[in-house]
Amino acid sequence: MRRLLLERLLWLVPTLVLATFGIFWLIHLAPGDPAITLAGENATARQIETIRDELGLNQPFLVQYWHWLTHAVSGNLGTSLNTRQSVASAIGAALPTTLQLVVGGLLVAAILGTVAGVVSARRANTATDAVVSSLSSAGAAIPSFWLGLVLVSVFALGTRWFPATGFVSITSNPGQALKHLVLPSIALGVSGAAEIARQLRAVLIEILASDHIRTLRAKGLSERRIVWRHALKGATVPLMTIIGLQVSRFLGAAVVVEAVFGISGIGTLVVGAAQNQDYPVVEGVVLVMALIVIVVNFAVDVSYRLFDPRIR
Amino acid sequence: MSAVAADDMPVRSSGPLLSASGLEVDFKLPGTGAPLRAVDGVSFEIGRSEIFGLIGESGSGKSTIARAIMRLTPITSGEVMLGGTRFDRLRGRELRRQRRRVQMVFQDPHEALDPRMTVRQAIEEPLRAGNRDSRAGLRDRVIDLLHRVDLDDSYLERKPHTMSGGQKQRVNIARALALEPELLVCDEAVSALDVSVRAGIINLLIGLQRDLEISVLFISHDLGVVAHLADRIGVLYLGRLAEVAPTESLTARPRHPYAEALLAAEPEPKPSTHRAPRPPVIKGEAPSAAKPPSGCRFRTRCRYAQKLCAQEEPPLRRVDHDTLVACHFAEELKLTGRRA
Amino acid sequence: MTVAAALEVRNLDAYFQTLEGEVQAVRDVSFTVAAGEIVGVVGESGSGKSVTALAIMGLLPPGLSRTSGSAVAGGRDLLALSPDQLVKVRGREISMIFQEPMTALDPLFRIGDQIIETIRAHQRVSRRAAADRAVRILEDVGIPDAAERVRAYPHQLSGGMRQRVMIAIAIVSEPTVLIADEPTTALDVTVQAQILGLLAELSREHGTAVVLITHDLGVVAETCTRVHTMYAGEIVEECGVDDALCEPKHPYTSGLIQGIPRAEKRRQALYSIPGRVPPLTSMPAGCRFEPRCEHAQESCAAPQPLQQAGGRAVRCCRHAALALPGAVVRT
Repeated sequence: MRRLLLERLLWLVPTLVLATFGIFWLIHLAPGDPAITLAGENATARQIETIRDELGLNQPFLVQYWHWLTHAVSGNLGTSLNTRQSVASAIGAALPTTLQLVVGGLLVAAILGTVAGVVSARRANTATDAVVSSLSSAGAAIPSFWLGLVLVSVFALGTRWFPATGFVSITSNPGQALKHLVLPSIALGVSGAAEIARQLRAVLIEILASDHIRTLRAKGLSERRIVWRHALKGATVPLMTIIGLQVSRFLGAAVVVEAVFGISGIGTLVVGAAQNQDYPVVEGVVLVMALIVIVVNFAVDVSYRLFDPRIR
Repeated sequence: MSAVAADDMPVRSSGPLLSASGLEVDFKLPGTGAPLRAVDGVSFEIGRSEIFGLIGESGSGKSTIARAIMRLTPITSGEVMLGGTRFDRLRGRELRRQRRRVQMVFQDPHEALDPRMTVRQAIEEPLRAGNRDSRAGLRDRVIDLLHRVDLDDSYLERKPHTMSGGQKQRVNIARALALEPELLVCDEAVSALDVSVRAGIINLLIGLQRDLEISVLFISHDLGVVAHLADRIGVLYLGRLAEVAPTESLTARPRHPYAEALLAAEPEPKPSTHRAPRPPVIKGEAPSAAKPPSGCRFRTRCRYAQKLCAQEEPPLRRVDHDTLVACHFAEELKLTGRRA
Repeated sequence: MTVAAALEVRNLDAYFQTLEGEVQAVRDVSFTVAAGEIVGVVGESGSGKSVTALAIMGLLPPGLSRTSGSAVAGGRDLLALSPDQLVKVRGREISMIFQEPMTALDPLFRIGDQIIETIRAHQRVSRRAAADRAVRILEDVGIPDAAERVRAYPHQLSGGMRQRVMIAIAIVSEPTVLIADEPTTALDVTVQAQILGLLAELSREHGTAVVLITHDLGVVAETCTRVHTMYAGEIVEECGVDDALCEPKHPYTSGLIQGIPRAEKRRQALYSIPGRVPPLTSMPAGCRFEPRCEHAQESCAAPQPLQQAGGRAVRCCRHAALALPGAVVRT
């Protein structure tokens, strides 16, 4: 266990450097010049040049990256070029929102996906299976933003069950928060549910054909107990892996869902920043996202040990 | 050391073909990395044209010995002499040249064959390397080998999935014979086969010994099969040899309590009227090879164990002119065997 | 005095759906087992012996197979029960143990919990009571330090120990019938002797009827009183074990016996039955063994019924005329 922790920490640094460097480079390849945007209309070349100097934009690319890196290591993520706000505090404000959204999406994906997976595995190769499997394929294909728009128009604008836009944090008002979270979580989670259902079905079918399940049947256990207590436990390791992967996907998909539902989370923040070449913000977000993904992967690895006594 | 002539088989005593001395093979346990000595000081010889049976249960180290002899597993210490050559020390081209002299047949006939290759391709493969035969010459060799294992020409273009376990094993044997080895190592070669199919392969091996004068190291957990085939038998327990004796003396009069226990445990397909009384079934299971008992390893399950057995490990020593036993009380004990 | 049969199987057929349509894996199998008796079912791969056992237990894959005939135990026809009824009977009245102890136990649960689960699936007892019973049953099957071992996971146990746990699970609810499908094939010979001894002792003490399925005639000789030989999905011979070994009446039984290597027959050529079991999709219409039989004649081209002859049964039209070699050389 300790060895695992050490290993992961060792990999943490190169991964973060690689990720941030890559994004830094991509931003600099993108056309446009933040200095021009900042200077505003009717700025003279002189003024633009001054701003560029101020922001250190004239220095070689690698030097700029090095500056950013050394500051980031000491916790200073810089200031936003556009808002002059500290990047750290901007992210700090937006992150909890996105996290709540992602957790919501995960819950939807996990619950929906597990039920669908179990049902189609138990009734494999029957009509029920065919229906559930096609729904899963459809679900995987549906883009989150389209689903979001449909949900808004039907359940928010149409039936008025849920609010169309906006966000309330769990910490401030749980009841309202939940109402705001339902539709976006569904929009985000459905495609994850489809993926989980498909993988779980395959794993469960294999497990249900294995020798130890046959012994359990011979013992006289009900099929339901066999599936939910034994087979599903056996599927936990692959299930955890898939869920871990979904987290990474959801962080990215959150951008789109936030846009549809007018939620100001990390997604909104980083899209705006990218469009304006506000690279400190972008870099800061990338750093935080990479960290989250690494932590999640680590948690998944740890969970293997918890669930399978043979690995310990 | 010349093998004891069993029946009609005259055996040449021109020095042993294979001689293993003090073989030790260590493994590292996964996780903790603690050392596990799977083979602990095993020495035996196989004469020319001799079938030597190596018998043991799981954890005895028999498969490890096979792999060590074949140079598939590194030897921690000890020697393997093939003819006059230090086989375990060879490298590179010299190793490749000498390797032809020892070939192996494995337990699972199916896994040993490439499912995409025909029988002809499988048998040709070892012949191809460095061979200057013409295409027709190669084909003739393959047909020759097929006949040797009692398969006819129709098998040439067949693929493994169309063949039974027994047929596949014959192809494996044919392939092993392609390089004209002097020693055939059979690691549980019939264990995965049906009973009626086993008989055919056993007959085949005996025939090969007679016709090709090839030696066989036959490794198995099945005493019945080994006793039928082998000229001499070595009994392994937890990485050490307990007894080495000619088959008939081992089965009629074992000298080591473990050999007696094996003979007693082996079920006899005989009617109750013809079954001789036997000692009671041995208790317990073999201890872990990672922590063998002090002194004699078998003492924890031995009916005859005394204090000395916990203190001193008995060496493998000669009793009678053709039997080696590792037991302090080999001379005193009157053990029960199986009479014909 | 006729002893009531603990298990009576009549005309059991089992079919599988394959890509080539429906094939019959087991045909017209009938046998009985009395309380306290150990009956052997002997055959090689493709004989249908395992399929027979799974069919009786209702463990064949549901969509892809079907069975007909009857298997009566405890006054009920197991083959006629609904899935809900079957769940109550399995593990309670009739239990089964399997060949591969390595894979037969759930690796993610402690063995104590697996035994407790079995107990509580069939009886209303407290967890405490079930836990105590679990420790006792582990002792009964010869596991040392049972009170501690109860918390072990299967992968921490040896093959022999796992098989004992399987037996414990199978007998903890005191079934009247136990089907053992090659229970010792994957075990060392000394462990095999112990496990067979355990089964015999349990059968004696609890009066359990045991069906022992194996390919090893030696195991049959030492453990069973009666034996059924199966070939290509049919029973071809049924008689007492001594009879089968001394005077087999079916050429296949005799062939099997002749093929067994023994120290007494050292180096003599063993009889190897030529040919192979015919594939399920192309069984001969007459005697199924005829293509491989050295005594085959014209009469063998007709379907062979199981004929009764003096307390024995044999599926061979020539049985009265043949004097087949057995395990003992006749003087």
